[in-house]
Amino acid sequence: MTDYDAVIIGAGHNGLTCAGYLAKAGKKVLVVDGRSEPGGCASTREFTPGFNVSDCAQWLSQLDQSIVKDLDLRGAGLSTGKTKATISLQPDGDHLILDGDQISGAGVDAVDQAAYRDFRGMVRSFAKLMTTLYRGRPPKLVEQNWTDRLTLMKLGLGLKLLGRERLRDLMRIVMINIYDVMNEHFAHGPLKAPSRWMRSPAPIWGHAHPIQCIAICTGLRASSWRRAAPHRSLVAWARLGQRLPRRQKSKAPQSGSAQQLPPSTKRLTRCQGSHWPRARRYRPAS
Amino acid sequence: MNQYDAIVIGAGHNGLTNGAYLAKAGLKVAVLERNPYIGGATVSRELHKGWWYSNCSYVSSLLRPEITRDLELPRHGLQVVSFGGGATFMRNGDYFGNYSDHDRHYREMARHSQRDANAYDRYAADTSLQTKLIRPYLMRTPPDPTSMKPKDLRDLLEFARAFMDLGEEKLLDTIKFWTASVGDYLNEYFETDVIKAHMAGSGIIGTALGVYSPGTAYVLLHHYMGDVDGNVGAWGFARGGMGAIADALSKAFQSYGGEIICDANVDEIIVKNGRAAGVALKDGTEYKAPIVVSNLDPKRTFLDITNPSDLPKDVLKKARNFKIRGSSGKLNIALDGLPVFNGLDPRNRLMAGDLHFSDSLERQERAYDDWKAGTWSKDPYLDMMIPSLTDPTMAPPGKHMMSVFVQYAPPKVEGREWTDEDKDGFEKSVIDQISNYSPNFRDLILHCETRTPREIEAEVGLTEGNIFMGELTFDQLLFNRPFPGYAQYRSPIQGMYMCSSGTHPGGGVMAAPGANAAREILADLKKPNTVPGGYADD
Repeated sequence: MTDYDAVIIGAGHNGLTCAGYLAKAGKKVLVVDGRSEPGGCASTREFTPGFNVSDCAQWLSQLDQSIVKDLDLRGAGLSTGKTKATISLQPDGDHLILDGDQISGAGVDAVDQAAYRDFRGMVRSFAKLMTTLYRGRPPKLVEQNWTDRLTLMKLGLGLKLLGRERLRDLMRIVMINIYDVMNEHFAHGPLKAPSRWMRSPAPIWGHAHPIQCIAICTGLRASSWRRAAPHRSLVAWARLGQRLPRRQKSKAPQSGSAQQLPPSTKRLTRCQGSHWPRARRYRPAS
Repeated sequence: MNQYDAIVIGAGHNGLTNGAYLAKAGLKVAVLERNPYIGGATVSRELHKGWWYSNCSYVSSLLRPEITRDLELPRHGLQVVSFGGGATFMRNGDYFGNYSDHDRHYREMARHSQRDANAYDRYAADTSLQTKLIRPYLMRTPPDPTSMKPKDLRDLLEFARAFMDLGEEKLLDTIKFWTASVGDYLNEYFETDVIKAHMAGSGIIGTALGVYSPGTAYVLLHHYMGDVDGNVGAWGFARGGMGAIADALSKAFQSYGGEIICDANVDEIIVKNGRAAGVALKDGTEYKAPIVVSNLDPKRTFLDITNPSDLPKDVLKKARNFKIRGSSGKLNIALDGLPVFNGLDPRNRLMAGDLHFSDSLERQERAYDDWKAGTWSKDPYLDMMIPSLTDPTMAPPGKHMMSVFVQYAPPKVEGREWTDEDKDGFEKSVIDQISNYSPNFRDLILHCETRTPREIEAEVGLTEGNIFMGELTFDQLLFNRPFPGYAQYRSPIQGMYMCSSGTHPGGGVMAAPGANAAREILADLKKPNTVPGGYADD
């Protein structure tokens, strides 16, 4: 337990996902965070006894399903709520309901419904194209290697498959502000505001929940970051690839506390967010 | 009698350029103009006896040198004199001078901030890289990325290669530049408010966007990519006002046998069997021609003078969605003498340049906030010039003419049309601002012509008074201008073309859209090309 293959600064969802993949590949990883709980913007807080709130991020629409699968987040206990309709309350007491491709209320007519379906179709086709980009690293444009070329070719093919009219739409929309897009697509006033929202499922139990799931599958022990709290910067460490049965969670040994960490790691704990430039001086000596 | 080979609607600089190149190729061309005088927004008018106002466009730089040479505009009387520098006056009584002399400019910047002075050369190099990149494409038809035609593919490949040649780092800088706001772009180089504000002005002129709106860094480039006599980035006055450009173009056009018909208000483009056949005027006169070129902005072209039944639905929709927002006004002022500005010696050469009063990006953004709220800016951004210091023909001896471009003025005031009271309020906010910095200014005013978007639209026919005939944002530039699929100057109707600033490469007195459109028309007619190609001489 003296050194690691990788140290990740920040136990937000990206830090943990990165750690998760590295751990899955058999690497020994340490995740450190300035707060006493992991999660960053994806955290749940009990703001008054018995009441929890997703502290920062509150919707979960972009969590890539391939990550959920790769890290077996469902196996680690992640469950998400069902997609619910978006309801936009109108000043006159009426309300607009957007549910899937269907819209109703607030005086929308067949023309608005068609416009809405059309708009959703367009956004879906663009989203599909973008997904190919999200799942790879952004390609370099000049100093490419074959991975980059492959990504670019996939993107090119995706663009071609959009069809000529959709591609022309994309050429404009990619650089335009949402105000114009809404005005171009919808004549119905109340429809313009809520349509900017793409509805998304919320995680059951708040946002800390997916984080815990990622953490669990990474092998991070829920108890370890709590114990490390007095040391502020140390959140958790774990021998990765080792998955703990849930029952053992509370009985987890104090191995996550700073005392048992090598001196170099302790020094790393002094890296406070507001002193990043100084952090360089505390680079752990391996 | 009324039969021509080609009819161009609108005798602005692009219409005249287009007509000139078609006539040069041997076509019988008529240019129709609604007003009793030619020029469109490139015009000089004697609105107060003895004073000539360039009452729309007021400075020249973008006019393509290829066209100036090819149409022999200097021989037809055009003379452009560059002016050196400009200044931004500050609220603390100081000013920032923008000298054309490099060393003097460095010292002036260092007076405000040594760090900014040191950053300037880097900024100039980075910006001129973008200028070099774009200039060769101004006199070319943009390729269509959705097309599989060999010509488009070849052009696209060449375009891509020009970008790839930049190298990874410069290419990423370029992408950032084309999408960034002018405020963010300048913040990367400079720290001093007044220096940033002085430069940011070029990023918002004529645009319904603020200094922190994405895309305004390109608008800055649009004001840097011109030249006066090969001096890239310089601006100048046309001797006799901007009308001199239209006059020289019209003489070139007439020298090739072209005909200009004024007071010809076009009602509709006549389409027969899916082909353009001529135009009908409001007074019932008809002119016949197999080629009709519209120099009106895309909105007017497709929504006003074309019968909707002749157009595909998608074009109507695209024309309706075309962004052409009025954002500017102008004051033309006859002065009894030279105004004095706090802190600046009246003998300083900067007096002959562009003068401004917004000394921070913050103030410029607040001015834009007023526009968003549907009213003219209470603390406007002004681009003020005294052309008579450079060109004495603009005013009687000892007197002066002042041109004040005002940013921002909304196309409609709080959702309703402009009234005369609004116009007075607008005028007052401008004159008040200048008076704050010039104690004798108010007493020198002999005559003032105030132009809000209402006046600009009514006289020149620019929809909403947008001086660029459409926003210069990336969704409306290059192959997206005026809209994707129709960027090659052809309309969906056979024989009908577009040559206005609403097409590539956009607004400003550039004449490139008119020339590019002529090249495409001649190609369709299988006539030899008379239009000079673009070159990169810088």
